[in-house]
Amino acid sequence: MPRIRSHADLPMCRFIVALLAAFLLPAATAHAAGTPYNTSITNQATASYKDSSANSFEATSNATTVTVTAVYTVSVTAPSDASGNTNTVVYYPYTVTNTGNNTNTFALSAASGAGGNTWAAALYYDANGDGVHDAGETTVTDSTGALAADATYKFFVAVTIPAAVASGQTDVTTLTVTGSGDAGAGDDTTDSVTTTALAPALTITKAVRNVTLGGTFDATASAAPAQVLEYRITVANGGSISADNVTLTDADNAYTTYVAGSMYIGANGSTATSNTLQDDDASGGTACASDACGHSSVSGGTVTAYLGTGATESASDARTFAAGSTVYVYFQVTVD
Amino acid sequence: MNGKRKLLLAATLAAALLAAVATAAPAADPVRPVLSLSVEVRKEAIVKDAGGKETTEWREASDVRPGDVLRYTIAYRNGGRTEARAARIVDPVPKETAYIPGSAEGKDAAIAFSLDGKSFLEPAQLRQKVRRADGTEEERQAPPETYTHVQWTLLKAVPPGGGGTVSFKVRVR
Repeated sequence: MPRIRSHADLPMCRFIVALLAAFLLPAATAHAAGTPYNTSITNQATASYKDSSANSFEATSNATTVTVTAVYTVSVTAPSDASGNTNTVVYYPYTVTNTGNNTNTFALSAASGAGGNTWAAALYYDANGDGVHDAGETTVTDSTGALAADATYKFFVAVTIPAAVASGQTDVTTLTVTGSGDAGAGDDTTDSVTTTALAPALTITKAVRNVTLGGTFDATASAAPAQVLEYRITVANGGSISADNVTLTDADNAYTTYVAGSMYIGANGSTATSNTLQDDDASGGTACASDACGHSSVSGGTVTAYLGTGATESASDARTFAAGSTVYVYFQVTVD
Repeated sequence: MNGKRKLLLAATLAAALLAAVATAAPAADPVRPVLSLSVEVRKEAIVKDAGGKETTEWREASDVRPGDVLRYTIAYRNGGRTEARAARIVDPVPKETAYIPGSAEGKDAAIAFSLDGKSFLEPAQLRQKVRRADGTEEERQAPPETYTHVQWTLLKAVPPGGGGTVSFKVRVR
C-alpha cells in the first residue's frame, strides 16, 4: 500500500494537486461479470499525526484480505419471434454470456411442442459470430464449451416449418441453457421463440347467372337450352404471403358451349364488362401490371387463366398473386 | 544487557516496559504519542426473521461475492504518553470495490476523498474531466465509484490511552 504524506498544512499545495488530479484519471477496471474468482481484496490503513512539538509520525495498520468466491450466472439473448414460409427453416441467433466470475460450461438444448405444434428444432454453431446464418454453418452444437468469465458463445436455434401447414400456424420452441458451474439453477436459463408459418391460402368461388332471363349471380341458376349463362369465378388469396404462378382451370362445362368473346378478367366483382376483355386464344396481350388481372384462353371447353402481376398467355411466365388480392374471371356459355 | 533482560521478564507490565525501553535506548524520546491502527473488514448480510422483517448483520468476511457490501472499520488508539495532534487516517478503497456514497463515518472527524491518493477534497469539489463524443472535454463531479482513498482528519487531539473508530463501506465490483 502506498504511504500517504500529509499536505493538510499546505492548503495551496493541496489546491494545485487537486487541479492536476482533475486532468488525468485512470480508467477504472470494469468487469461486467464482476471481480474474477479468487481475487484477493486487501486493505491497509495509514495515519499521520504530530506531537506537541509538531514532530510528525506515521502509523500503518494490519492488512486485511478477503477472497472473491466463485459465482456462476448466465444470460442469454432473447431474439424476436419470427415467421417463415412453409418448408423453410427459421434461424434464431442466440448469444450466451457467462456473467459469472469463473469459467463455466453451458449445455444447450432446444425443444418444441409447448405451443401445440411440434416442429423440428436444431442448434447450429455461429462459426463467424455475425448472428446471421450462413449456408456453411451446419455444425450441430449442444454445448458452449468452456467459457471464461464475460465470454460469449453464439449459435442458432433452427426451426423447420413443415411443408404442409396452414398459414398462421405457430410453434413454440424453448432453448434451455444449463450451466455446470453450480448444482442449483443460478447458471441455468431459458428462452422461448414463437415461429409462425407463412403460406398463401387461395379460395375459389364460382357463381352463375342466367343472362337470357336477366338473373343475378348465385350459387345455382336454372336455364333452358339455348339460354345463355354467365359464370363468375372469384379467386382470392386469404393467406399471409403471395401465391406464385397461379393458374385457374375450369373444365366443368358439360352440356354448354363457350360464347366466343365473352371472357373478362379484372377487379370488378359485379359486372363482367367492367373488366378487361380477353382474346380467347393463347397468344398476344401484355403482361399484367396488377394482381387483379389475368390472361385466359379457351380450348376444347376448358377455360385456362393465368392470374396475377406478370401474367401473360404463357404458363411458364412468372406471376405473383399477393396476400389479400382478389381477381374475378367471367365467361359465358350457351346451354346445348 | 540488564535492561534487556528486564524487558523480557516484565513484558506484561507496561510501567516496567516503559522504564526498560527508557533504560535501553536513552537517545529515543520516550515522551511521544504512539498511534496504533487496526483494520477489520466485515460483510453485510441481510437476514429475514420469521415475520419477514429484514435486519442487517455484519459478519466476518473471508470470502465475498461480486455485489457484496463490505464495511472497513479502522480502530485507532494512542498508546503513547502524550496526545496525538492533527491525526489524519487514510484508507485506500480497494480497486476491486466501489465506495458507497455517504458510507464514511467518523466521530469528530472531517471526511474527505481522493481520486489519486494525493489530494483530498469533499465530494462536491472532486472533479473529473470527461471526454465528449465530439472530442471536447467536460468537467463533472467525480462519481463515488471513482474514489480511490478515504481520509479522516481528526478534529480533536487523541489523548494518551484514547482512541476511536472510523469506517466506510464498499461494494465488491
